[in-house]
Formats: sequence, structure tokens, C-alpha cells
Amino acid sequence: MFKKILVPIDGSETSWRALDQAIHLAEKFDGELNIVNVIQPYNNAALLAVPLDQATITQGNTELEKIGDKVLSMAKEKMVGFKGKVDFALEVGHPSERIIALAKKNGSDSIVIGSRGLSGIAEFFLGSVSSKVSQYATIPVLIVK
Amino acid sequence: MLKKILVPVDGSDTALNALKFAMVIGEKFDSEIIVVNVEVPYDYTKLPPRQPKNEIEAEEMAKAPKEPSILDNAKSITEAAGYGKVMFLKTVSIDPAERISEVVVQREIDMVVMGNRGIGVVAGFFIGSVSAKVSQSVECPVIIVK
Repeated sequence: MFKKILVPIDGSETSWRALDQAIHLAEKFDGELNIVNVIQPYNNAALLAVPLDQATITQGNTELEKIGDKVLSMAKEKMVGFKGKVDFALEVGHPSERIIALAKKNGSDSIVIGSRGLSGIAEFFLGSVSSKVSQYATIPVLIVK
Repeated sequence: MLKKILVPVDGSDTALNALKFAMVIGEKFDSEIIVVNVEVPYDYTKLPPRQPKNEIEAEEMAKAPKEPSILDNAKSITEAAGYGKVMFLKTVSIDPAERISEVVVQREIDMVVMGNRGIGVVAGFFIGSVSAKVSQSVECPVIIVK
């Protein structure tokens, strides 16, 4: 239990709190942390208004990857004092699907996730990543506020 | 950090799994576990207790051993694990999710551990599950156990 913890982060306040909580648990249970940031390509209302040629898509994706890398480097800064094993990953795709697939692939035994991410009003219509993950994952999910 | 852990139970197996999970965490953090059962009044999805037909049957039913209640089941699990700091609560409310959130505020709970799906499998699909509501509405971290 809490030997291999998956921590999806998106750079929001709650996701940093989730990371803090995960560090706490990993220290107590002597666990390993897998920190992941999932970027979703062309999930952008502005992109719907412009013609989708390959150049625009590539440009959008490289921008997203830059943001993803920044989030992960922020996470790395936070993990400086942590003694246990930790790794970082950047994934591309649908967030809740990728998180669940990654938990399976890594053989994680728990997921620690922030309750509300960056999306705000969109979440009200689309449903939140955290509630999807908590309903569909087969392992215990800790939702942090 | 985790002084009080709340475990809502409804008689389902996942709820008892949640209780076991809570005890593992509780041992590490030396926390008090509060087990709560919210009874829903006028729940027509449950069978009513059988009424005795005549006096002889009434006597027999009084003699027969009572089925253990939901909290009794929880109690036997904590006793089997030898967990000392446990408290049991029983409340009645039409909306379990709301009552659980109230208990969290009243008793200054640090973490909620609950099963993802209770006894209402089909109803849970249509109405929305208690665990989803609780995880969105309470202020403390929530662990959802399968």
C-alpha cells in the first residue's frame, strides 16, 4: 500500500497540494513516486476557429509541450528534499484515460490527484478528470482539495 | 497530520475494504477512526422486515438470533484487527452525501476513506454515487477505495 504512487499534476494549486500529500504518504510508507503531466493536444477553443493545417497543429503542440516541461521542472524543484525514488513523465492524450492506462502500465498501487484542475468552467460541462479517474481506476484514489 | 479519519459504511463489501484501508493508514499516523452509517428513511429499494403472522410466530422471531447490523459488522472487523481508537456513529438522513459532509465539518475530520460503489449499483448509475458527491463537496482529502 502506497509503495508506488502515481501523481498526475497539471500545474494548478490543488495539484501542488496533491504532490505535497503524496510526498507525506511516500515518506511514511517508504514508497516510490511517479509524477506525470498529461497534455491534451488541440483542446483549445481558439483552434476551432482557424483552419487546421499541419503547421498550426505542430505549432500548438510544441507550445503545449513547452508548458508541460515547465510544469515538470517546477515539480522537480519541489522534489529536491525527497529521499525516495521518483520519476517524471510527460504524456500526450486524453488526461483521465492516460492516467488510468499509466497506472496500469506502471503497476501503481494508488493515485493521488487534485480535485479541481485548471479547466474551471469547462469542467462543469465536461466532468472533472479527478472524478473520472476515481470512478474508473481499479486502485485506491486519494482526492486532495 | 491525520488525527481523525472518517469511514462511511453502508453494508457493502467495498465499504468494509475502505475500513481495512483506513486502519492501515491509521496505524501509521496514529489516528482515530470514526465509522459512520447513514440510514436512509423511506428507502423502498430495501425489503421491509417480515411481520409475524400470529403470536406463536412472533415468539419464535423474538428468540431467533438477530442479524448483525452494519455497524456490528464494522465493529467485528476493527476488533479482529485489534484497532483501539475507533468510534461508531449512526445517523438518519435522506441524503447520505450531505450528511457525511456535515459530519466532516462538525467533527473536524482530516481525511475520508470510502468505497466507490455502495449497495445501489443500478441506482448509483442514474442518480450519481455518494462517493462522487462527497469527493467534490468536502474540504478534506478523500480516498476512494475499490
